[in-house]
Amino acid sequence: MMKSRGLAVIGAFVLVALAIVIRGRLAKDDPGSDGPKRRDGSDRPVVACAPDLAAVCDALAADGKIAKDPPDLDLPGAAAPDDAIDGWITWSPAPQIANFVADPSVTRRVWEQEVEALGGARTVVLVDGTSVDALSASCRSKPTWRCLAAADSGLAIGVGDPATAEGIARLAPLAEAFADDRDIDTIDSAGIEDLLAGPTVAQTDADEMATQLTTSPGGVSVVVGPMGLLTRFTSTAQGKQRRLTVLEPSPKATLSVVVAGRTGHDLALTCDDLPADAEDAVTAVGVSPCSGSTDDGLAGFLFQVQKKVG
Amino acid sequence: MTARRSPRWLEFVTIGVAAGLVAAGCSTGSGSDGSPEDPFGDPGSCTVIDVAVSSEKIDLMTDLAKGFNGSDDAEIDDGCAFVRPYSKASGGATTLLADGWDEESEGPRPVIWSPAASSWGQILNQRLADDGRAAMAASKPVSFMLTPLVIGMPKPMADALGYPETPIGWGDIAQLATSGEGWAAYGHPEWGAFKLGKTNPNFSTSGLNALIGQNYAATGKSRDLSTEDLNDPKTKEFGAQVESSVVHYGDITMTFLNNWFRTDRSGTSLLYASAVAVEEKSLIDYNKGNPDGVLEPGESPRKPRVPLVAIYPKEGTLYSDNPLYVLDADWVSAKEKQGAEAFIDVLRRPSNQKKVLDYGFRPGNPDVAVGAPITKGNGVDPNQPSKLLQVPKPAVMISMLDRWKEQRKGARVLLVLDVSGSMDEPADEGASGDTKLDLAKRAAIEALDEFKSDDEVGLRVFSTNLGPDEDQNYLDLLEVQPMSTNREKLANQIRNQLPQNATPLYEVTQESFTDMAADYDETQINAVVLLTDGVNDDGDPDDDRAQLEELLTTLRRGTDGENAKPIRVFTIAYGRQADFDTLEQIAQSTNAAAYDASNPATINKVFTAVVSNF
Repeated sequence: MMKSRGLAVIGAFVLVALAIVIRGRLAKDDPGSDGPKRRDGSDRPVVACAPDLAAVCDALAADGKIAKDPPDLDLPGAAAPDDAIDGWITWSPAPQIANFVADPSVTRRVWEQEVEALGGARTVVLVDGTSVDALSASCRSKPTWRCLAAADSGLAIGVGDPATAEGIARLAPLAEAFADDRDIDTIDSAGIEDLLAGPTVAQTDADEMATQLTTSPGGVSVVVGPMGLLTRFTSTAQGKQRRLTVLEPSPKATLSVVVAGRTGHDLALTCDDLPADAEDAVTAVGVSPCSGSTDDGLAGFLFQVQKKVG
Repeated sequence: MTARRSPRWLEFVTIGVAAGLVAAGCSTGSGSDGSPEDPFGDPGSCTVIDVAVSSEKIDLMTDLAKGFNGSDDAEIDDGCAFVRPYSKASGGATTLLADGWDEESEGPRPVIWSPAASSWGQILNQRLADDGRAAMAASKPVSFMLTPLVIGMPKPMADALGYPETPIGWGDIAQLATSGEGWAAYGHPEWGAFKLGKTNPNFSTSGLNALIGQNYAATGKSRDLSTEDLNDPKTKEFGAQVESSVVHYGDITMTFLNNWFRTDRSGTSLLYASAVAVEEKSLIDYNKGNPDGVLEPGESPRKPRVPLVAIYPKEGTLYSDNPLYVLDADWVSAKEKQGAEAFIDVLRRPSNQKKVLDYGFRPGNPDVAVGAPITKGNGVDPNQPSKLLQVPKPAVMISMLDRWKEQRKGARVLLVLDVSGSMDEPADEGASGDTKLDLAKRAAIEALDEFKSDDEVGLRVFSTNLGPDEDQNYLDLLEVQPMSTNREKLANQIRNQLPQNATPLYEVTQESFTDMAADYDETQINAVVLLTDGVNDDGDPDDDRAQLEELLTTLRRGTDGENAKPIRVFTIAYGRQADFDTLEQIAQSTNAAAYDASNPATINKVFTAVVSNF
């Protein structure tokens, strides 16, 4: 009798111990619980980057500011990202567009409405020598986005892929030129589609398209992008040979790299946290670190544009 | 300029000239420097990065790899990388990667693949996807240098057309090709009909880009070419017009450039071809006096008497963008990827991008200016092309290639096979027990599949003491007839052949050429494919020299001249005893190409390369 009672007590202890261990394990696996939860075993936040900004995330991860092996995330996946992702470094206003995609009434946001600007630049165009002459003829002394967008300008304009965060941000000023006061009912979506179909090379990121304009002209004649990036091409050896010029059409437009926190996740990453390598990576995409602004009214318009031009 | 491939070299480094021609070569081709030594040495304990590159850049890549190996740049985690480039034609490598890469016959599977253009990467991925497999080639590869497709034309001809003041394009080529007047319409009846050189698009990037260009030109588009466009009767008619002027096809543009260069000496280059679709880089090489881009030891460049001019088609053109794919394949390890990326970083450096220029390519790095030799003095224009064409979707390209097989110019071919006694010798030292004749028969039968139904093909075999009375030096087993009726019969006849006696090479070549000329059909490519494993042996060695002289004279007379009826004699030197030099003379006399299959194991690939001319 004593023996069986003793065994029962020992069994009870074992069961309690087992329960504690299992609970601990479950707690570890639950992303909503406290304690270490990251894929790299640390308690650092998981921050994704738009593919063209991957170097920014890599620099932050190398500095220990975010979890290792940061994932890529672009607009198509940003409305329903992986649960583990706490933040997203991308081009404004991609997080707000993703919120519209997730819920057009925006009653439930995937990303916080307030974002932190990590860098910004004026939106300009890189133009080759021949196209500058054509542009001068059709737009006179001061080019405007509307003039640039005009079908009769005959220019093949590289604006990027509007399905991506980078592409829709670059398209923004031209898309606005195709509508009256961001009124989606007035938008000339066929005009935007024609514009996108202008180049015979693929609509890709500004760096790649500017490289193509510089080294293998004939497929694209104008590239829209951040001033810091495109100005660089004018001073390259081949850029000088091709008389590349940067113009800033009016009205002024900006491009901003932002970090958006995931709704319900606690992300505290600001511009001040950028280590030198991350600042260099921000600079490399053509924006000035710790500058930039966001335009709250733009996301809804671009969301509609994206829906119209696919 | 012409080089016979060294078997030992080929055992080490698969430098070939055509679709996977590992141990074979075409005398007029390029790609190998003919060196008998492995140019890279012992990799030691370094991680070897095998790099398959298209033939026109093998010399450049070899140069760059030598600079990389052993340098600080080659140091990777816990070791070093050792880069080993070898030549692999773009179309051939695409097929090998899609269908399975046999390392025994094709050499090592690559870690980095650099075809001439990224369209091959797209075609590969599409073929893999069609087969339910994952992509191997990244969608955005690093492009480290560029060269546009141009229409190379002898300067007097370009002048006659009013170029560059008058823009020229594929539409003009189609019009010239179908004009009954030919060059007479431009005041030059002595140049005869318009003749176009164009490579086989299933093998060659310039052939593929030319095919894309002519299809766009037919539609008036510069983007979004569709299968519906390809189905349009107007597109088909346009294509048929362009193809009708083709001299012959082939796996590499160097065949045309070498033939042009040789005929330039005799003053007949304008009669051989009026235009060839080539890459700008190759045209520069030609005008510098190095038509195949490879200088053999002791060889010095000699500028041609009649230079070429690069015509940038007015409808637009495409760049060969020389992508560097680190293959996403199960045979590529993480360490190999790391080494590959280190090498690619080095290639992009300005110092190496300047080397790219030395070889006639345009730098992919904007920081390096486009300069000499890309100058008007070399027949090219650094400010062109002004219009690019969009690379069609992969499925459209595959459809285009499939259609081309039926749309290309027809061929009228006499296969002439050596069935001498020496063909009974073992093909190799292995245990297969196959004789040389066994392998040749299998390769010839397999190559029959590449002919289309309305190609006309016949079969002649030669040896001494043939026929019922044992007094014939050759037998016509099948007349030249459409493949629709001859295909099966040809296979059976080839299969039935047995080794016989001696090798009356000169007689059968002369007779074959003469017989084909008698029924010459100007609407087709007229050719003899001659395979032999020996030297001329007809029982009377005393008259061999005179016989050869007479043969070569006959061939040249029939080939050159305004009213010539060119019969191209493509020769295959089979086995180590074959008289390659003589076979090369025979091929060159007819502005064709000689192929070296000194290693019998390569005969399959050589036959494939030969048949790519049709």
